[in-house]
Amino acid sequence: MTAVDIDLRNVEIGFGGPPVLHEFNLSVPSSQTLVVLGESGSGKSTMLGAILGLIRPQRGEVEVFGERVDALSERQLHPVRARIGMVFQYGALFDSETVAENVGFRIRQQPRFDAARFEREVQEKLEFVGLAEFRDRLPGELSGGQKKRVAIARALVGDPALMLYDEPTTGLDPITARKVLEVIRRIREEFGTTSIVVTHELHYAYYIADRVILIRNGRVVFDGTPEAFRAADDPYIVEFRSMEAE
Amino acid sequence: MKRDVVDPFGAFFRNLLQETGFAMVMLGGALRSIPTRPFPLRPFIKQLEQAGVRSFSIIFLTGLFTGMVLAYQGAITLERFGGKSLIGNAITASLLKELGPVLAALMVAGRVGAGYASELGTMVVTEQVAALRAFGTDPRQFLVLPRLLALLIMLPLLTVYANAVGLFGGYLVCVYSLDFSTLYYLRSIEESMTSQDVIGGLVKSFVFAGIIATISCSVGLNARGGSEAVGRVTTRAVVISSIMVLFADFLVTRLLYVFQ
Ligand SMILES: Nc1ncnc2c1ncn2[C@@H]1O[C@H](COP(=O)(O)OP(=O)(O)O)[C@@H](O)[C@H]1O
Ligand SMILES: [Mg+2]
Repeated sequence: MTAVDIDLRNVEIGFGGPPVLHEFNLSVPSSQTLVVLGESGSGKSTMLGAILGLIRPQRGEVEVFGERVDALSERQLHPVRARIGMVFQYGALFDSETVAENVGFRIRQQPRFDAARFEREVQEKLEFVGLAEFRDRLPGELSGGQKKRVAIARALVGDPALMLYDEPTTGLDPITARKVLEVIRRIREEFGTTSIVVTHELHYAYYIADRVILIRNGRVVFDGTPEAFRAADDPYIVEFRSMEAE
Repeated sequence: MKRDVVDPFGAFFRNLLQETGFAMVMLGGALRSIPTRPFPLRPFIKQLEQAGVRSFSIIFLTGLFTGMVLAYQGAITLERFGGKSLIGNAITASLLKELGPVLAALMVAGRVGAGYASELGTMVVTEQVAALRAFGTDPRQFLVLPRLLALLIMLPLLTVYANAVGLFGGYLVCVYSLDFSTLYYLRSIEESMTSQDVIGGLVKSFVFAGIIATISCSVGLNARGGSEAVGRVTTRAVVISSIMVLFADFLVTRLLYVFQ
Protein backbone atom coordinates (compact mmCIF):
# COMPACT_ATOMS: atom_id res chain seq x y z
CA MET A 1 0.00 0.00 0.00
CA THR A 2 2.75 2.41 0.88
CA ALA A 3 5.10 1.35 -1.91
CA VAL A 4 6.81 4.36 -3.44
CA ASP A 5 6.50 4.63 -7.21
CA ILE A 6 8.52 7.78 -7.71
CA ASP A 7 11.37 9.24 -5.74
CA LEU A 8 13.24 12.36 -6.83
CA ARG A 9 16.18 13.24 -4.61
CA ASN A 10 18.08 16.52 -4.77
CA VAL A 11 17.41 16.81 -8.47
CA GLU A 12 19.01 19.67 -10.36
CA ILE A 13 18.11 20.40 -13.97
CA GLY A 14 19.11 23.43 -16.00
CA PHE A 15 19.27 24.32 -19.67
CA GLY A 16 22.27 26.59 -19.60
CA GLY A 17 20.76 29.42 -17.56
CA PRO A 18 19.82 29.31 -13.89
CA PRO A 19 18.60 25.85 -12.89
CA VAL A 20 14.93 25.09 -13.54
CA LEU A 21 14.77 22.49 -10.77
CA HIS A 22 17.14 22.93 -7.85
CA GLU A 23 17.52 20.57 -4.89
CA PHE A 24 14.15 19.20 -5.91
CA ASN A 25 12.70 16.45 -3.74
CA LEU A 26 9.49 14.53 -4.29
CA SER A 27 8.22 11.11 -3.36
CA VAL A 28 4.96 9.70 -4.69
CA PRO A 29 3.38 6.55 -3.21
CA SER A 30 1.40 4.03 -5.27
CA SER A 31 -2.17 4.85 -6.21
CA GLN A 32 -1.92 8.48 -5.21
CA THR A 33 -3.26 11.29 -7.40
CA LEU A 34 -0.79 14.12 -7.11
CA VAL A 35 -1.57 17.51 -8.59
CA VAL A 36 1.43 19.65 -9.44
CA LEU A 37 0.84 23.39 -9.41
CA GLY A 38 3.17 26.18 -10.42
CA GLU A 39 3.41 29.23 -12.60
CA SER A 40 4.15 28.79 -16.26
CA GLY A 41 7.86 28.12 -16.66
CA SER A 42 8.28 26.85 -13.09
CA GLY A 43 9.53 23.47 -14.28
CA LYS A 44 6.44 21.25 -14.12
CA SER A 45 6.92 19.70 -17.56
CA THR A 46 10.63 19.39 -16.88
CA MET A 47 9.81 17.34 -13.80
CA LEU A 48 7.63 14.98 -15.85
CA GLY A 49 10.42 14.72 -18.42
CA ALA A 50 12.84 13.70 -15.69
CA ILE A 51 10.48 10.98 -14.44
CA LEU A 52 10.26 9.54 -17.97
CA GLY A 53 14.00 9.73 -18.47
CA LEU A 54 13.50 12.17 -21.36
CA ILE A 55 15.50 14.82 -19.53
CA ARG A 56 18.58 13.89 -17.57
CA PRO A 57 19.36 15.78 -14.37
CA GLN A 58 22.79 17.33 -13.87
CA ARG A 59 22.65 16.25 -10.27
CA GLY A 60 20.52 14.13 -7.99
CA GLU A 61 18.65 10.87 -8.41
CA VAL A 62 15.41 9.95 -10.12
CA GLU A 63 13.95 6.64 -9.06
CA VAL A 64 10.84 5.19 -10.72
CA PHE A 65 9.52 1.77 -9.67
CA GLY A 66 12.83 1.28 -7.89
CA GLU A 67 14.90 1.91 -11.06
CA ARG A 68 17.36 4.77 -11.34
CA VAL A 69 16.05 6.20 -14.60
CA ASP A 70 18.67 8.96 -14.61
CA ALA A 71 21.35 6.29 -14.97
CA LEU A 72 19.70 4.03 -17.55
CA SER A 73 20.39 4.03 -21.27
CA GLU A 74 17.58 4.72 -23.69
CA ARG A 75 17.28 0.98 -24.36
CA GLN A 76 17.30 0.09 -20.67
CA LEU A 77 14.52 2.62 -20.11
CA HIS A 78 12.05 0.68 -22.28
CA PRO A 79 10.70 -1.60 -19.55
CA VAL A 80 10.28 1.34 -17.16
CA ARG A 81 8.59 3.49 -19.78
CA ALA A 82 6.33 0.58 -20.69
CA ARG A 83 4.77 0.95 -17.24
CA ILE A 84 4.19 4.69 -17.62
CA GLY A 85 1.48 6.40 -19.66
CA MET A 86 2.34 9.96 -20.64
CA VAL A 87 -0.23 12.45 -21.87
CA PHE A 88 1.58 15.37 -23.44
CA GLN A 89 0.31 18.91 -23.20
CA TYR A 90 -1.19 19.19 -26.68
CA GLY A 91 -1.66 15.45 -27.06
CA ALA A 92 1.42 15.03 -29.26
CA LEU A 93 -0.56 12.66 -31.48
CA PHE A 94 1.30 11.49 -34.58
CA ASP A 95 -0.14 13.70 -37.34
CA SER A 96 0.12 11.21 -40.15
CA GLU A 97 -1.52 8.30 -38.34
CA THR A 98 -5.17 7.62 -37.64
CA VAL A 99 -6.67 7.67 -34.16
CA ALA A 100 -6.57 3.87 -34.00
CA GLU A 101 -2.95 3.73 -35.16
CA ASN A 102 -2.03 6.36 -32.59
CA VAL A 103 -3.77 4.54 -29.77
CA GLY A 104 -2.26 1.19 -30.73
CA PHE A 105 1.19 2.64 -31.35
CA ARG A 106 2.86 0.72 -28.55
CA ILE A 107 1.43 -2.56 -29.82
CA ARG A 108 2.52 -1.83 -33.38
CA GLN A 109 6.06 -1.22 -32.17
CA GLN A 110 6.39 -4.63 -30.55
CA PRO A 111 8.93 -6.93 -32.20
CA ARG A 112 6.05 -9.17 -33.24
CA PHE A 113 2.81 -7.48 -34.17
CA ASP A 114 -0.23 -8.97 -32.43
CA ALA A 115 -3.19 -7.94 -34.59
CA ALA A 116 -5.82 -9.38 -32.26
CA ARG A 117 -4.38 -7.52 -29.29
CA PHE A 118 -4.20 -4.35 -31.36
CA GLU A 119 -7.89 -4.52 -32.26
CA ARG A 120 -8.98 -5.43 -28.76
CA GLU A 121 -6.96 -2.83 -26.88
CA VAL A 122 -7.60 0.01 -29.33
CA GLN A 123 -11.33 -0.64 -29.13
CA GLU A 124 -11.28 -0.96 -25.36
CA LYS A 125 -9.24 2.19 -24.72
CA LEU A 126 -11.18 4.27 -27.20
CA GLU A 127 -14.44 3.15 -25.62
CA PHE A 128 -13.02 4.06 -22.24
CA VAL A 129 -12.51 7.67 -23.33
CA GLY A 130 -15.77 7.64 -25.31
CA LEU A 131 -14.30 8.04 -28.79
CA ALA A 132 -14.71 4.59 -30.37
CA GLU A 133 -16.45 5.99 -33.43
CA PHE A 134 -13.49 8.25 -34.23
CA ARG A 135 -11.00 5.46 -34.77
CA ASP A 136 -10.39 6.15 -38.45
CA ARG A 137 -10.05 9.93 -38.21
CA LEU A 138 -6.75 11.77 -38.43
CA PRO A 139 -5.68 13.94 -35.46
CA GLY A 140 -6.17 17.06 -37.59
CA GLU A 141 -9.87 16.27 -37.74
CA LEU A 142 -10.36 16.26 -33.97
CA SER A 143 -11.14 19.04 -31.49
CA GLY A 144 -8.68 19.92 -28.74
CA GLY A 145 -10.59 17.95 -26.12
CA GLN A 146 -10.93 14.91 -28.36
CA LYS A 147 -7.19 14.99 -29.06
CA LYS A 148 -6.46 14.92 -25.35
CA ARG A 149 -8.81 11.99 -24.81
CA VAL A 150 -7.18 10.10 -27.69
CA ALA A 151 -3.81 10.88 -26.10
CA ILE A 152 -5.11 9.44 -22.83
CA ALA A 153 -6.35 6.32 -24.62
CA ARG A 154 -2.94 5.93 -26.24
CA ALA A 155 -1.19 6.29 -22.89
CA LEU A 156 -3.51 3.69 -21.34
CA VAL A 157 -2.47 0.92 -23.72
CA GLY A 158 -0.53 -1.69 -21.79
CA ASP A 159 -2.34 -0.72 -18.56
CA PRO A 160 0.44 1.41 -17.05
CA ALA A 161 0.82 1.62 -13.30
CA LEU A 162 1.65 5.31 -13.54
CA MET A 163 -0.06 8.01 -15.59
CA LEU A 164 1.47 11.43 -16.17
CA TYR A 165 -0.73 14.24 -17.47
CA ASP A 166 0.78 17.52 -18.64
CA GLU A 167 -1.89 20.23 -18.42
CA PRO A 168 -4.71 17.96 -19.57
CA THR A 169 -7.36 20.67 -19.25
CA THR A 170 -5.48 23.75 -20.44
CA GLY A 171 -7.20 25.45 -23.33
CA LEU A 172 -10.42 23.46 -22.99
CA ASP A 173 -13.84 24.89 -22.29
CA PRO A 174 -15.26 23.92 -18.86
CA ILE A 175 -17.56 21.17 -20.15
CA THR A 176 -14.84 19.51 -22.22
CA ALA A 177 -12.37 19.92 -19.38
CA ARG A 178 -14.83 18.15 -17.07
CA LYS A 179 -15.04 15.21 -19.46
CA VAL A 180 -11.25 14.87 -19.48
CA LEU A 181 -11.12 15.10 -15.69
CA GLU A 182 -13.78 12.42 -15.36
CA VAL A 183 -11.63 10.13 -17.49
CA ILE A 184 -8.61 10.82 -15.28
CA ARG A 185 -10.67 10.11 -12.17
CA ARG A 186 -12.08 6.90 -13.55
CA ILE A 187 -8.61 5.64 -14.46
CA ARG A 188 -7.58 6.12 -10.87
CA GLU A 189 -10.76 4.57 -9.45
CA GLU A 190 -11.00 1.56 -11.76
CA PHE A 191 -7.33 0.64 -12.03
CA GLY A 192 -5.75 2.20 -8.93
CA THR A 193 -3.26 3.94 -11.22
CA THR A 194 -0.80 6.35 -9.64
CA SER A 195 -1.39 9.72 -11.30
CA ILE A 196 0.52 12.94 -11.57
CA VAL A 197 -1.51 15.78 -13.01
CA VAL A 198 0.18 19.05 -13.92
CA THR A 199 -2.22 21.95 -14.07
CA HIS A 200 -2.62 25.55 -13.10
CA GLU A 201 -6.37 25.41 -12.83
CA LEU A 202 -7.08 25.31 -9.13
CA HIS A 203 -10.68 24.18 -9.09
CA TYR A 204 -9.76 21.14 -11.18
CA ALA A 205 -6.90 20.45 -8.81
CA TYR A 206 -9.25 20.42 -5.84
CA TYR A 207 -11.59 18.17 -7.78
CA ILE A 208 -9.18 15.28 -8.37
CA ALA A 209 -6.19 15.63 -6.04
CA ASP A 210 -5.30 13.48 -3.06
CA ARG A 211 -2.29 15.67 -2.64
CA VAL A 212 -1.12 18.99 -4.00
CA ILE A 213 2.37 20.35 -4.46
CA LEU A 214 3.37 23.83 -5.57
CA ILE A 215 6.67 24.45 -7.37
CA ARG A 216 8.44 27.77 -7.12
CA ASN A 217 12.05 28.70 -7.89
CA GLY A 218 12.85 25.11 -8.71
CA ARG A 219 11.60 23.66 -5.42
CA VAL A 220 8.50 22.27 -3.78
CA VAL A 221 7.20 25.14 -1.61
CA PHE A 222 3.92 23.51 -0.62
CA ASP A 223 3.11 19.85 -0.10
CA GLY A 224 -0.19 18.78 1.45
CA THR A 225 -3.86 18.05 1.00
CA PRO A 226 -6.09 20.15 -1.25
CA GLU A 227 -7.87 21.39 1.87
CA ALA A 228 -4.60 22.50 3.42
CA PHE A 229 -3.66 24.30 0.18
CA ARG A 230 -7.00 26.09 0.19
CA ALA A 231 -6.44 27.20 3.79
CA ALA A 232 -2.72 28.04 3.58
CA ASP A 233 -1.92 31.65 4.49
CA ASP A 234 1.60 31.85 3.07
CA PRO A 235 1.60 35.13 1.06
CA TYR A 236 2.78 33.47 -2.20
CA ILE A 237 0.12 30.77 -1.97
CA VAL A 238 -2.55 33.36 -1.23
CA GLU A 239 -1.41 35.29 -4.29
CA PHE A 240 -1.23 32.13 -6.41
CA ARG A 241 -4.77 31.20 -5.37
CA SER A 242 -6.14 34.63 -6.18
CA MET A 243 -4.39 34.73 -9.57
CA GLU A 244 -5.36 31.30 -10.74
CA ALA A 245 -8.89 31.04 -9.36
CA GLU A 246 -10.24 34.23 -10.92
CA MET B 1 26.86 37.24 -29.92
CA LYS B 2 29.20 40.12 -30.63
CA ARG B 3 31.67 37.77 -32.26
CA ASP B 4 29.02 36.65 -34.71
CA VAL B 5 28.72 40.20 -35.99
CA VAL B 6 32.44 40.81 -36.17
CA ASP B 7 33.27 37.39 -37.49
CA PRO B 8 30.27 36.04 -39.43
CA PHE B 9 32.42 33.68 -41.46
CA GLY B 10 33.90 32.02 -38.37
CA ALA B 11 30.47 31.69 -36.81
CA PHE B 12 29.18 30.09 -39.98
CA PHE B 13 31.97 27.55 -40.03
CA ARG B 14 31.52 26.72 -36.37
CA ASN B 15 27.85 26.13 -37.13
CA LEU B 16 28.68 23.98 -40.12
CA LEU B 17 31.11 21.84 -38.14
CA GLN B 18 28.73 21.54 -35.21
CA GLU B 19 25.75 20.49 -37.34
CA THR B 20 27.91 18.02 -39.25
CA GLY B 21 29.11 16.59 -35.95
CA PHE B 22 25.54 16.25 -34.64
CA ALA B 23 24.55 14.61 -37.92
CA MET B 24 27.33 12.03 -37.67
CA VAL B 25 26.39 11.15 -34.10
CA MET B 26 22.75 10.80 -35.13
CA LEU B 27 23.69 8.62 -38.08
CA GLY B 28 25.68 6.35 -35.78
CA GLY B 29 22.69 6.00 -33.49
CA ALA B 30 20.35 5.35 -36.39
CA LEU B 31 22.56 2.59 -37.78
CA ARG B 32 22.99 0.98 -34.38
CA SER B 33 19.21 0.96 -33.88
CA ILE B 34 18.64 -1.16 -37.00
CA PRO B 35 18.62 -4.59 -35.34
CA THR B 36 16.41 -3.60 -32.40
CA ARG B 37 12.98 -3.30 -33.97
CA PRO B 38 10.97 -4.33 -37.01
CA PHE B 39 11.96 -2.05 -39.87
CA PRO B 40 9.38 0.75 -40.30
CA LEU B 41 8.28 -0.48 -43.72
CA ARG B 42 5.19 1.66 -44.18
CA PRO B 43 6.93 4.94 -43.34
CA PHE B 44 9.70 3.88 -45.72
CA ILE B 45 7.32 3.33 -48.62
CA LYS B 46 5.63 6.64 -47.87
CA GLN B 47 9.00 8.40 -47.88
CA LEU B 48 9.98 6.80 -51.19
CA GLU B 49 6.78 8.06 -52.71
CA GLN B 50 7.17 11.53 -51.18
CA ALA B 51 10.77 11.94 -52.30
CA GLY B 52 9.81 10.98 -55.84
CA VAL B 53 6.63 13.02 -56.06
CA ARG B 54 8.16 16.09 -54.49
CA SER B 55 11.09 16.13 -56.89
CA PHE B 56 9.77 14.82 -60.18
CA SER B 57 8.81 18.06 -61.90
CA ILE B 58 11.67 20.21 -60.61
CA ILE B 59 14.17 17.55 -61.63
CA PHE B 60 12.58 17.44 -65.08
CA LEU B 61 12.96 21.19 -65.54
CA THR B 62 16.46 21.21 -64.08
CA GLY B 63 17.60 18.43 -66.39
CA LEU B 64 15.95 19.94 -69.44
CA PHE B 65 17.43 23.43 -69.09
CA THR B 66 20.83 22.10 -68.14
CA GLY B 67 20.95 19.89 -71.24
CA MET B 68 19.83 22.75 -73.47
CA VAL B 69 22.39 25.14 -72.05
CA LEU B 70 25.16 22.56 -72.35
CA ALA B 71 24.30 22.04 -76.02
CA TYR B 72 24.55 25.75 -76.83
CA GLN B 73 27.70 26.22 -74.78
CA GLY B 74 29.25 23.15 -76.35
CA ALA B 75 28.36 24.29 -79.85
CA ILE B 76 29.83 27.75 -79.32
CA THR B 77 33.08 26.40 -77.91
CA LEU B 78 33.45 23.59 -80.41
CA GLU B 79 32.68 25.80 -83.38
CA ARG B 80 35.57 28.01 -82.40
CA PHE B 81 37.92 25.02 -82.35
CA GLY B 82 36.33 23.28 -85.29
CA GLY B 83 35.26 20.15 -83.46
CA LYS B 84 31.51 20.12 -83.99
CA SER B 85 31.44 16.35 -83.93
CA LEU B 86 32.49 16.42 -80.30
CA ILE B 87 29.15 17.91 -79.24
CA GLY B 88 28.17 14.62 -77.63
CA ASN B 89 31.30 14.70 -75.51
CA ALA B 90 30.61 18.22 -74.39
CA ILE B 91 27.16 17.27 -73.19
CA THR B 92 27.69 13.85 -71.64
CA ALA B 93 30.92 14.65 -69.81
CA SER B 94 29.47 17.67 -68.05
CA LEU B 95 26.01 16.27 -67.53
CA LEU B 96 26.62 12.74 -66.34
CA LYS B 97 29.67 13.31 -64.19
CA GLU B 98 28.92 16.69 -62.76
CA LEU B 99 25.85 18.76 -63.45
CA GLY B 100 23.29 15.97 -63.37
CA PRO B 101 24.24 14.60 -59.93
CA VAL B 102 25.02 17.99 -58.37
CA LEU B 103 22.03 19.95 -59.64
CA ALA B 104 19.67 17.09 -58.84
CA ALA B 105 21.14 16.92 -55.34
CA LEU B 106 20.82 20.67 -54.79
CA MET B 107 17.21 20.59 -55.97
CA VAL B 108 16.46 17.63 -53.74
CA ALA B 109 18.15 19.37 -50.80
CA GLY B 110 15.83 22.32 -51.31
CA ARG B 111 12.77 20.16 -51.68
CA VAL B 112 13.12 16.85 -49.86
CA GLY B 113 15.78 17.91 -47.34
CA ALA B 114 13.72 20.97 -46.43
CA GLY B 115 10.71 18.70 -46.04
CA TYR B 116 12.61 16.36 -43.70
CA ALA B 117 13.83 19.22 -41.52
CA SER B 118 10.43 20.88 -41.25
CA GLU B 119 8.57 17.61 -40.59
CA LEU B 120 10.98 16.50 -37.89
CA GLY B 121 11.25 20.02 -36.50
CA THR B 122 7.47 20.17 -36.21
CA MET B 123 7.44 16.80 -34.50
CA VAL B 124 9.99 18.05 -31.99
CA VAL B 125 8.20 21.27 -31.07
CA THR B 126 4.83 19.49 -30.79
CA GLU B 127 6.45 16.86 -28.53
CA GLN B 128 5.75 14.03 -30.97
CA VAL B 129 9.42 13.08 -30.84
CA ALA B 130 9.29 13.04 -27.03
CA ALA B 131 6.15 10.90 -27.32
CA LEU B 132 7.98 8.40 -29.53
CA ARG B 133 10.69 8.07 -26.91
CA ALA B 134 8.16 7.86 -24.09
CA PHE B 135 6.51 4.96 -25.92
CA GLY B 136 9.81 3.16 -26.27
CA THR B 137 10.58 3.95 -29.90
CA ASP B 138 13.88 5.39 -31.05
CA PRO B 139 13.11 8.44 -33.24
CA ARG B 140 16.29 7.79 -35.20
CA GLN B 141 15.05 4.35 -36.07
CA PHE B 142 11.46 5.32 -36.70
CA LEU B 143 11.94 8.70 -38.40
CA VAL B 144 15.49 8.89 -39.72
CA LEU B 145 16.13 5.42 -41.18
CA PRO B 146 13.14 5.35 -43.55
CA ARG B 147 14.00 8.83 -44.82
CA LEU B 148 17.67 8.04 -45.24
CA LEU B 149 17.02 4.80 -47.07
CA ALA B 150 14.33 6.34 -49.27
CA LEU B 151 16.67 9.10 -50.40
CA LEU B 152 19.58 6.71 -50.97
CA ILE B 153 17.35 4.94 -53.45
CA MET B 154 15.49 7.90 -54.93
CA LEU B 155 18.30 10.39 -55.55
CA PRO B 156 20.33 8.09 -57.83
CA LEU B 157 17.12 7.30 -59.71
CA LEU B 158 16.26 10.99 -59.95
CA THR B 159 19.80 11.63 -61.18
CA VAL B 160 19.41 9.08 -63.95
CA TYR B 161 16.15 10.77 -64.81
CA ALA B 162 17.77 14.22 -64.79
CA ASN B 163 20.52 12.91 -67.06
CA ALA B 164 18.02 11.41 -69.49
CA VAL B 165 15.98 14.59 -69.62
CA GLY B 166 19.22 16.57 -69.99
CA LEU B 167 20.24 14.51 -73.02
CA PHE B 168 16.79 15.11 -74.41
CA GLY B 169 17.20 18.87 -73.84
CA GLY B 170 20.52 18.70 -75.65
CA TYR B 171 18.81 16.87 -78.47
CA LEU B 172 16.13 19.56 -78.81
CA VAL B 173 18.74 22.27 -79.11
CA CYS B 174 21.08 20.33 -81.42
CA VAL B 175 18.38 19.21 -83.81
CA TYR B 176 15.95 22.10 -83.84
CA SER B 177 18.28 25.01 -83.33
CA LEU B 178 21.75 23.91 -84.43
CA ASP B 179 20.62 21.81 -87.41
CA PHE B 180 22.24 18.54 -86.43
CA SER B 181 20.51 15.44 -87.66
CA THR B 182 18.92 13.16 -85.07
CA LEU B 183 21.18 10.32 -86.05
CA TYR B 184 24.27 12.46 -85.78
CA TYR B 185 23.34 13.62 -82.29
CA LEU B 186 22.55 10.12 -81.09
CA ARG B 187 25.74 8.68 -82.46
CA SER B 188 27.80 11.45 -80.93
CA ILE B 189 26.20 10.80 -77.54
CA GLU B 190 26.66 7.06 -77.84
CA GLU B 191 30.32 7.38 -78.71
CA SER B 192 31.11 9.74 -75.87
CA MET B 193 29.14 8.09 -73.09
CA THR B 194 31.32 5.85 -70.94
CA SER B 195 30.10 3.56 -68.19
CA GLN B 196 32.75 5.13 -66.00
CA ASP B 197 31.02 8.51 -66.27
CA VAL B 198 27.64 7.03 -65.53
CA ILE B 199 28.87 5.06 -62.53
CA GLY B 200 30.92 7.97 -61.24
CA GLY B 201 27.83 10.15 -61.34
CA LEU B 202 25.76 7.57 -59.52
CA VAL B 203 28.40 7.14 -56.82
CA LYS B 204 28.22 10.88 -56.30
CA SER B 205 24.46 10.98 -56.08
CA PHE B 206 24.50 8.13 -53.56
CA VAL B 207 26.91 10.07 -51.35
CA PHE B 208 24.87 13.27 -51.79
CA ALA B 209 21.70 11.44 -50.76
CA GLY B 210 23.35 10.29 -47.53
CA ILE B 211 24.51 13.82 -46.78
CA ILE B 212 21.17 15.48 -47.48
CA ALA B 213 19.09 12.99 -45.50
CA THR B 214 21.45 12.82 -42.54
CA ILE B 215 21.98 16.54 -42.16
CA SER B 216 18.37 17.51 -42.78
CA CYS B 217 17.02 14.99 -40.27
CA SER B 218 19.62 15.88 -37.68
CA VAL B 219 19.01 19.62 -38.00
CA GLY B 220 15.26 19.01 -37.75
CA LEU B 221 15.61 16.83 -34.66
CA ASN B 222 17.70 19.55 -33.02
CA ALA B 223 14.94 22.15 -33.34
CA ARG B 224 14.43 23.99 -30.04
CA GLY B 225 11.66 26.37 -29.15
CA GLY B 226 8.24 27.03 -30.63
CA SER B 227 6.87 26.94 -34.14
CA GLU B 228 9.28 29.68 -35.27
CA ALA B 229 12.07 27.15 -34.76
CA VAL B 230 10.69 25.06 -37.63
CA GLY B 231 11.34 27.78 -40.19
CA ARG B 232 14.81 28.28 -38.82
CA VAL B 233 15.84 24.64 -39.00
CA THR B 234 14.38 24.29 -42.49
CA THR B 235 16.55 27.07 -43.91
CA ARG B 236 19.54 25.81 -41.98
CA ALA B 237 19.11 22.26 -43.29
CA VAL B 238 19.03 23.43 -46.92
CA VAL B 239 22.04 25.72 -46.57
CA ILE B 240 24.21 23.24 -44.70
CA SER B 241 23.34 20.20 -46.78
CA SER B 242 23.86 22.15 -50.04
CA ILE B 243 27.30 23.28 -48.95
CA MET B 244 28.23 19.79 -47.81
CA VAL B 245 27.05 18.42 -51.17
CA LEU B 246 29.39 20.79 -53.01
CA PHE B 247 32.22 19.94 -50.66
CA ALA B 248 31.63 16.20 -51.08
CA ASP B 249 31.44 16.70 -54.85
CA PHE B 250 34.97 18.03 -54.72
CA LEU B 251 36.19 15.12 -52.60
CA VAL B 252 34.50 12.43 -54.66
CA THR B 253 35.68 13.96 -57.93
CA ARG B 254 39.19 13.99 -56.55
CA LEU B 255 38.87 10.33 -55.53
CA LEU B 256 37.42 9.22 -58.86
CA TYR B 257 40.20 11.09 -60.61
CA VAL B 258 42.74 9.00 -58.70
CA PHE B 259 41.07 5.79 -59.84
CA GLN B 260 40.96 6.75 -63.50
N1 LIG C 1 14.67 21.80 -23.90
C1 LIG C 1 14.78 22.98 -23.29
N2 LIG C 1 15.79 23.82 -23.61
C2 LIG C 1 15.93 25.00 -23.01
N3 LIG C 1 15.12 25.46 -22.04
C3 LIG C 1 14.08 24.70 -21.65
C4 LIG C 1 13.86 23.42 -22.26
N4 LIG C 1 12.76 22.87 -21.67
C5 LIG C 1 12.34 23.77 -20.76
N5 LIG C 1 13.12 24.87 -20.75
C6 LIG C 1 12.97 26.03 -19.86
O1 LIG C 1 12.79 25.56 -18.55
C7 LIG C 1 11.82 26.32 -17.87
C8 LIG C 1 10.75 25.40 -17.32
O2 LIG C 1 10.01 24.86 -18.40
P1 LIG C 1 8.80 23.88 -18.17
O3 LIG C 1 9.24 22.73 -17.36
O4 LIG C 1 8.24 23.59 -19.50
O5 LIG C 1 7.79 24.77 -17.33
P2 LIG C 1 6.25 24.55 -17.04
O6 LIG C 1 5.86 23.23 -17.59
O7 LIG C 1 6.14 24.62 -15.55
O8 LIG C 1 5.52 25.69 -17.68
C9 LIG C 1 11.30 27.35 -18.84
O9 LIG C 1 11.96 28.57 -18.57
C10 LIG C 1 11.71 26.80 -20.19
O10 LIG C 1 11.97 27.85 -21.07
MG1 LIG D 1 4.61 22.78 -19.17
